Amino acid sequence: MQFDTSSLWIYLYLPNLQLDLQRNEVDTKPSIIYEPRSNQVVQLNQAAQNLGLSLGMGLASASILSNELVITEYKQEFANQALQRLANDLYLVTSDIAIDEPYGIYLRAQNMLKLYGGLAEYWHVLEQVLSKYNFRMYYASAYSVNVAKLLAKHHLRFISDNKEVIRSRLQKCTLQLSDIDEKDIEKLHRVGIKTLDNLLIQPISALASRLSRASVSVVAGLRGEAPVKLCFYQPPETYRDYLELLYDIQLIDKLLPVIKRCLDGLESYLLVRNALALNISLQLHQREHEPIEQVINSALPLYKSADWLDIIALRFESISLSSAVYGITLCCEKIEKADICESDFFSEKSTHVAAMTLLSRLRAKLGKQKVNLLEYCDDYRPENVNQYLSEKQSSGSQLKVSQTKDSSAPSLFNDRPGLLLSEPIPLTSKVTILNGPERISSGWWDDAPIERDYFLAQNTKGQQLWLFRTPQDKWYVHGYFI
Amino acid sequence: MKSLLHDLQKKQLVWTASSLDQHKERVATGYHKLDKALHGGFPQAGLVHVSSLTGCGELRLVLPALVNMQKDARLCVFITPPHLLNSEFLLNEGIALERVLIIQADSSDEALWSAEQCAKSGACSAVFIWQATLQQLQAKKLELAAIKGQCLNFFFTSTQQQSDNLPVSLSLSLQRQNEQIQVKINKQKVGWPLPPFKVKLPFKSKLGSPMRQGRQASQSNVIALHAKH
Repeated sequence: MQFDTSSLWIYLYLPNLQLDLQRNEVDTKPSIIYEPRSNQVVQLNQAAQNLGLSLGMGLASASILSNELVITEYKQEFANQALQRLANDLYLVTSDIAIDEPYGIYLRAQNMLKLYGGLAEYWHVLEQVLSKYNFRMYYASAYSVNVAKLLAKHHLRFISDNKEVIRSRLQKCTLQLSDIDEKDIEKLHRVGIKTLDNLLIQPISALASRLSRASVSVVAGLRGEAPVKLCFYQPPETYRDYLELLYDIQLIDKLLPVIKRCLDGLESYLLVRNALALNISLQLHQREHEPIEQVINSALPLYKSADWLDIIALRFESISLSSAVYGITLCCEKIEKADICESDFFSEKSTHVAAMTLLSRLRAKLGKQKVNLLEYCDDYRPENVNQYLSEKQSSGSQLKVSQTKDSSAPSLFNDRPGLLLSEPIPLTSKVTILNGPERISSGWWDDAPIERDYFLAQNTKGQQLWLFRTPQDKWYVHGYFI
Repeated sequence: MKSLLHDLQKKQLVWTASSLDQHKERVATGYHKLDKALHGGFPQAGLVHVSSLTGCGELRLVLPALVNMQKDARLCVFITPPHLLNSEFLLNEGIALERVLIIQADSSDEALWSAEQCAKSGACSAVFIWQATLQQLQAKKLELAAIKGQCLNFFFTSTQQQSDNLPVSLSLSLQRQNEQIQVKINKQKVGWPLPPFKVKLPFKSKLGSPMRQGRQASQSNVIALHAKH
């Protein structure tokens, strides 16, 4: 909310936003943006202007003037998204931004002047951000929000903090482009007020009886007497980006460079926040099928687009597209704070990073369930000793603690086989017993009782086996001493 | 002929690859005889081909070397072991389990891919892979990956064939003879193939008394239980 009437404001006016967004595709051809509801041309490019088209024309008369006219339907979402992106970029260099949908952006310059050391320097910084976009843009500065907007709407490109200059510019403005209601403009005409200059001379009390309340507040705003309510832009908490492809893509390989572009956006988003991401989700919107959604995890928090692309490329090897992709959504719900590089820069860190990178790569290619960590459980039954863990439980630090305790625990038996059969198989070959028996009788408390006599044995081929005998005197092989 | 070569060597006119720095540092195997035969131990990095039947002590022969290497706390990766790997055994051999990664690949291609990735990542001190056969090209890839990542890549197979012609750093054939393992060096990078010799690889506990070490443990458990009551 904004109640202050004395700061310097800048208004950026972008009347041709949708056309500018499409410009890459249709450059030289005359093209217009057409709004069907009001049957009007709302945006047009230079080529169309040269052909004699003008704003507010109907579709029929516009298409008569040219046979190769490119007509696109007006969609406000495009402009709004572009404004959001623009505001997001500007947010890095200026603090107070308010989006004025669908055509403009307010910037409060006053509180930035001290930081940048003057209006000219501040504007220079802004221009650098804006120049990336290549939009057709008009701008003006003034000591009131409405004045700045009105000036910019007159297709001015002017930045000044001199009150006299601003005032003289304002006097040249026409009433039609201000936010005053059309009926009220008509009324003002009747009483002889035709320019803004005339209007501003009149005391506000004189106007109040003639004009509607909305128009009076506009006039008061223009005089710099009334505060204006603005909602300042706040950058979103989570990262979400949708990229519409210029043409449909069927091949995964061709998709990767496009994904790279999305990731570059994420990279700069994370970089300025000094943050990293552990997982991102990618949605591939298919033309004729349901979108494919993929959550990409990394064992190590990452921000670099190249690192992410590496993992994504591996994951995508196993994905097949059912139909062509027309758009990509990239989401990053949760970001991690990057902490300061701990301890030794050279030794420990590099292997840790390498190990985590390796883990991410393996999981991306093979799937989570195929990459396992081993855990030891303190149990006498050989079936229960081993536990294979996939990533989730394993990343905790409590695992490490329990491991160190286990490895020093004295309860380990010597001479356990390196390989255990998942299911014991009946013994078929001839063996010599080397050692034994060792009776394991356990598990009567949890429905998996065993009672076995284990032996170390060697068969004629030289393989050393771990055998057991059941109370029924049946012999089984349960492991190999590798 | 031989004396001529000997003379030349004495005058230091013959240069051999074994004098390269990269071959000078070896990883002690923990078995005296084997160390001697291998000029001090396993190479620092490379593909080691071990052909033997499953269960004649092939892993126990190479693990002590690994424990020596494990001080740098890098990963040990086991790729598609033929059966379940036993954590109790690894702990007993002195391998920290948080450094162990097990990959259960579906196909041989996947297994080899993971082996190559692990080997060249630099994050692993050893990679163990069980495969029936290995193509020349695949072996070469693994060997180069292992050297790049400074990692020992063990390739276990039960087939005797093709043991000599693979481009590996070291190739061993193992055969169990009672308490000893007969080791035959088929090929090594800085030396000659050697005729079979025997290495003693006994069980840890004395024959006839597997419970001797175990009893201590069970006693301590009993005490703990009593203490609770």
